[in-house]
Parts: sequence; structure tokens; C-alpha cells
Amino acid sequence: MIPYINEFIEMNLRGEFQTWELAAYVVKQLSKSCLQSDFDELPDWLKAGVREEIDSYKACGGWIIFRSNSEPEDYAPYADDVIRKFDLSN
Amino acid sequence: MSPAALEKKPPPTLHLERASIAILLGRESGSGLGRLRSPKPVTGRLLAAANLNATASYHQTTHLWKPNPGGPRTIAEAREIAEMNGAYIEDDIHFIPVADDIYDQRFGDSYASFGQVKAKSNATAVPWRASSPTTSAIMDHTGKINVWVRQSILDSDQAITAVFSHETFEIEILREVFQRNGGSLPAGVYYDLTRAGKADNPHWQAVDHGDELVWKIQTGSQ
Repeated sequence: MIPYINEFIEMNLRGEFQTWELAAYVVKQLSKSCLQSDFDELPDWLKAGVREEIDSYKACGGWIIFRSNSEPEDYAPYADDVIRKFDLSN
Repeated sequence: MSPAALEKKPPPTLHLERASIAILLGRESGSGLGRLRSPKPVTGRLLAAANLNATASYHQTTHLWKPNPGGPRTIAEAREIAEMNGAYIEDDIHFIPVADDIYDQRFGDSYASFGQVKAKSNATAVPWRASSPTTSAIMDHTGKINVWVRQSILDSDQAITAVFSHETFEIEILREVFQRNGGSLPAGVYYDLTRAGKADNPHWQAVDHGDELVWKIQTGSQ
């Protein structure tokens, strides 16, 4: 299971974490150690969000996340990993 | 709390000019952030040690962040405490407490974070306000600026004052910089304004501001 996914989904439902942010988190976690079943178990709207972010990455060729008090994080390696290892079509 | 304590003060425009100058000069210093419960060593450019004041990329007052005898504050209480101690907090700022383990997972080892945005590169324009739920920006499409706060910060009134005032001070400077630039900035410029280790940038000034308010609590001059 993706770590803390239920907590982040709750934050999303409360408007405290946008869907693109949640999708980015999912992509990073999937690339690290998660299984196809972890993706398959996500709610449909979140799977759609993940596909949208991956499609956006494929279209523009870059994906960096910036936030205050942190170094920028390059999500391209995570996205490439997910594209290679996961079937996102379900 | 008296109504006067909640009265809004004008945004810190003078600091903006200092920040702009510093950005042009590109002066740098500083290193790693710590946590409330396990602060890492702080570094930075210390002012005259005699007045125990400091200026740096990282809070120099963490040794004064004492746990409250009554336990953690709610976000509403924390907001009032920070304002009472001198923080300027606009109504559109939305503090979100995040349990420490969850915070670590998403935001790393900072005390608080805001302005999460995605970009193709440093040159990508970051808007101040999102036009839709799928757009990333400093302010979301509903007009809220989310500030995610490490839960353990709420254990200490001094930590609350330092962190809430730091984040909101920084946001108010950014608000003005974005406004002056037509509502957006290149991602790389946004990073330069908010990153640690760049002397006198808004982040640096916000650290100083937060520490100054903590020192005022300590010396009873608030």
C-alpha cells in the first residue's frame, strides 16, 4: 500500500492538497517500491489524476516540483520509472 | 486578546527592497534546517553576539522553543498566539497541521511549507493564483494559500510564533514581488526568493523576523 495514501486523500477531500499534488506523491511512491496492485486499488479519480500528470510530463518533457523550505525535486526519474513498470490504463 | 493585537499591519515593503537588492547581489550563506524536537546545528551570519540577535537562513532561536505545559495548540489558537506576538497574517492564509510522520513523507525536514508548484524547468512561469484545480500556483484556485505545518510546532508557543510569522512574512513579500511582475515569476526566480542559503532573500528576512518575535517574547518586550 502507498504510505499514508488515505491521509493524503483525506487532505485532498478537505481541499488541503490538490489532486495534481496527490498524483505527484503517488507517482513518486510507485516508483520507489510499490506494486501494480497499489495503483489498481486507488480511486478512479486519482488514477485519472496520475494519468493526467504522466501525460503532461510526456508532453512537456520535464517535471520539477518546487516548494518553500525545500530543494526543487525532479520528478522525471519517478515518472520514467512508472511509465516503464506500471500499467496505468486500468 | 485585545482587538489591537489583531489589527493588520501593512505588508513589509521595506524588506522587499532589501530583498531585491540582495537578489541582484547574489550573496549566499547558510545550511540545513532542523526539526522542533531534534534541531540540527544552525549556521548563518551572526550579528553582534552581545544583543543575542541573529540573521541567517535558519532559525537561531530553536533553543527557546519550549513545549507548552498545557500541550499542543489548535491551529486557531496558534494563529491568535502568533498574531498576538506580532505576526501579520492575511485572511487568505490557511494553515494545515500535518502529523510529523506524514509531513516527513511529503515535505521533508522543514517546520512548514507553502507554495508547492510544478514546472517543466526553471524558466517555467509560476502563477500567483491557480486558474483551476489542476493548475499549480502559490494560491489555489479558491483563493487560499495553503501552509502545511509540522504538527509538533503546535506544541510550543515560541515555535508557533517563529514559524507562523516566518511563513506569512515571506508570503507577503512574495505577494508583492509577484504582483509587481504581473502575477507570475519564473520557477527559478521563485526558488531563489524562497530558498535557504541566499543572504537577505525573503526567506532569510522571514527567518530573522520570526526569531525577532521570539526574542521579544523571551525578553518580555512584546
